[in-house]
Amino acid sequence: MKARVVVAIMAMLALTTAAAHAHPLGNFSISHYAGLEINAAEVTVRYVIDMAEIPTFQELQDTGLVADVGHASVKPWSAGKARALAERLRLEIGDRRLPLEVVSHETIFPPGAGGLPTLKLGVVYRAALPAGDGPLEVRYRDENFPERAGWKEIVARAGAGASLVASTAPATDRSRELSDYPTDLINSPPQDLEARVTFSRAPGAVVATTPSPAPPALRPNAQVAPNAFADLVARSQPGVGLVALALLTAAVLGAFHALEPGHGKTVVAAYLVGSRGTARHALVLGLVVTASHTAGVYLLGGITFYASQHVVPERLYPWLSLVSGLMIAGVGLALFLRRFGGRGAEHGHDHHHGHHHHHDHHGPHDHGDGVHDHDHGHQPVSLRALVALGVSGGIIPCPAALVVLLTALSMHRVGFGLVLIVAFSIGLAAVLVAIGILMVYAGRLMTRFRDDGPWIRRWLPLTSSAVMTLLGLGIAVQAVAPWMPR
Amino acid sequence: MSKHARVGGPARLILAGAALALLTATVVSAQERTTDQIVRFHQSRVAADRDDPLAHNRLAAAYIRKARESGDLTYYTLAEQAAQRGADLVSRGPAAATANTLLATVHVARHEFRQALSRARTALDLNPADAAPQAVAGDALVELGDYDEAARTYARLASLTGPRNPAGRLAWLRFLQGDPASAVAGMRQAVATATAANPIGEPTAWTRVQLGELLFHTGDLAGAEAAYRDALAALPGYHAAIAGTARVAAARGRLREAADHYHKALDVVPLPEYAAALGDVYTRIGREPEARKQYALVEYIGRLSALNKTVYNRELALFLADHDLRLPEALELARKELEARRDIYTYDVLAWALYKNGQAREAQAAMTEAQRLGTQDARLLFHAGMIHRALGEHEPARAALARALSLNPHFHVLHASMAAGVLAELKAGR
Repeated sequence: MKARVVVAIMAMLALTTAAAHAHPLGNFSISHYAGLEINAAEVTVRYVIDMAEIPTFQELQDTGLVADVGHASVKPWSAGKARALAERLRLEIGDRRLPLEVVSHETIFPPGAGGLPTLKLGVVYRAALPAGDGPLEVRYRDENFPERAGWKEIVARAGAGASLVASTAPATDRSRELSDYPTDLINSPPQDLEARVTFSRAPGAVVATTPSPAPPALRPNAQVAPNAFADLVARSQPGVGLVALALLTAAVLGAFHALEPGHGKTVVAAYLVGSRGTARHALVLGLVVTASHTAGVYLLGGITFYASQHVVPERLYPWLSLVSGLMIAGVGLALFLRRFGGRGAEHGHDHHHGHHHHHDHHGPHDHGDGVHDHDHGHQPVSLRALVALGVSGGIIPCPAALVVLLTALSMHRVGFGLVLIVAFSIGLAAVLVAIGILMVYAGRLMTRFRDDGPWIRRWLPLTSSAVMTLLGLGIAVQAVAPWMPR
Repeated sequence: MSKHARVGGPARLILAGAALALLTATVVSAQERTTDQIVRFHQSRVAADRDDPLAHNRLAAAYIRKARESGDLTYYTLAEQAAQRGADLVSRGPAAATANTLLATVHVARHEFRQALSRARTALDLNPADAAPQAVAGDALVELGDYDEAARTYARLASLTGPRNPAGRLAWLRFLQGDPASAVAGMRQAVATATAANPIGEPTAWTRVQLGELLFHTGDLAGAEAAYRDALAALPGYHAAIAGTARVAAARGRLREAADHYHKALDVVPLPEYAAALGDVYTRIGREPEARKQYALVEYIGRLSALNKTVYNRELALFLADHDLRLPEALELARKELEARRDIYTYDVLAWALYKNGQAREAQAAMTEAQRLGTQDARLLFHAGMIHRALGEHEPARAALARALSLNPHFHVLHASMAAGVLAELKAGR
């Protein structure tokens, strides 16, 4: 299970690499920012429009505005534009549209490409709220510059005497009111033009008349060279130590897995003891079980991987992750319940034949034993029989190995997953072969050890199945998360 | 026996789960997701594993789609970064080939056709069975003017994918080669293929716009209008389809409607060709100040794109020559473009710029290159006719202008009537 944790840690490290700073937008973009602040009496909208070079040119052309803050044309233009923009900003409660009153406005012309002017207009609007208390839902929609590319951000916060109950808009500002656009490969511009905010007001709260807020503090864009990608590349190499740790963990997991009830090792043990095999037989049988077991997992992984090449992956992966997560959780839960409740009930099957054919029906992997329930002891050991036995004992992928693979898969690390399975199988093989050899030389001792240790008999399987359930649910939740409306 | 039932349990559960996963994947794939959702999805894949070349490749492809849809060239920069990362992460095999193909696609979009070709060939070396780099290589070859090699590349593409895949590309090649009828038929097939794959979204809308362009070239205004309308149904607000609608309206003489549509397209993406066309419509209506405003916008965008090293050299050269503005600069831009590509349309713009600069003899030589495939494009024939007339070759001038007008009597909002006027003069002069 630990391998999963290591993989998860690696993914988390990748996620936390800082966002790069680069201007992502073309020189025809128009960006919008709306900061909604709701207090007990009114809604304040801090609205910023950032026009790149081409729309700025068009605006200057259309209106006779001169791109110089001190010019006489700027104030009237700014006032007129603030009113015009308000007409296409809809702030509504129920069926009622709240009129937006212009409190203040400011325009600056930060130089863009080649020193050509860009335009940034900041307006503070205010709308009075209807009296009363109890929760209200306010809807905001920005219909200015439809379809035009740009950064479109809405932020909603509660002010004095009000608290947000629910909001479709985040409370934190990503762009510092359009002065710093933090985009890189994995953070494209927000495209939010609508928000719904439910808020409640403290009954009877009286808000002192707030002084007219200053217009948004307009800042020119942060100019940052777009070399952040190299940065990302340098930072994203996973540590060699972490990979080694993951591989080691997988091997240990495999070893523990071999000690858990079930799987082919009981066949190995029983067969070898029953047939008076040699250490060489133990080795062959252990390896065959391991190989077929690995092949079974690979087959399933291969089918998934093949599908991922031929089905559009953005559709395949979330479902695959969801289904595998639920599957893992389901298998884990079933195992847990059976192991938890199966303290004594299944010991009836735990009969010892004369030849120590030990059955062990606590796990899901007891197929090998089950199929070979009949007596095949006391026969000469043939390689063919060994292989057949090993294959039937190992061919069905066991949940533990599948969990490792599916986890890697859900994180889109198929290759790494396959390597982990190899490490897992090496651990498994080592223990299976060791058990086989022990059985050959000290069969009785081993049997007693397996049967009597309460930790191995009960707590190890219980813990592993519980962890499996939780991690499966985790994968399922993670798979669904990207679909949640943001 | 219960023992056997239990034996089958986990295996059945696992197989059923796998089957269920595949089934749901198939069901979900029938649903359409917006380009923004696709981009966001692949961003999350890259965030989850910054070393996964496949995830980077798919993110690059999503950005290319976003760039095509929005007309925002900056998305190509993101696409390039993602694909470059993909190429850095894996140096051989299919994933490396895909990364190089995506880089080649970005080069085509930036009109860096030689780099595009060399990237596509790298991709082909990495994975000769991959059809995608053949397609990009063919597109680059068409732009570079190497039409024979382009045809061979498309043939190899068809042998890899079957004839349906390259139908749209072959259609344009056929058009250039002077066979508009089979070009239209091929493009209709491409539209059918794209629609069957997904009736909505940018790829289908784009193919329908291509059909609209071809139909407009053949003078089928109703067909072109329908194609643009279908494109808008597949992708509402699609600027290329809005501009196409405007062009048809202008050809039909519905000039105010055309101006409205061009304004709408410009509101989405201020591309210089839209502003130039809108300016021409205003000129035709006689609203000179508005026309001048649009022409100034074209020049402004040209200035900006020179700063940003973007892609409008040829468009700007044609615009300047068309409007008798800064003619030496127009000629210089056309010559510079010829260094980048030697296709028939670059020769056409060069010929037109030479003609406007009073170098009719040199223009004639360039025009011969432009017409080497026998392309049935009214604009080429109009330019050829005007150059013939300047050289006093009245008979070929008359033939070229008459042919241009018979192909599409409304091929240009200003030039069509100019062609008709000159043709009448030539006939009268006989």
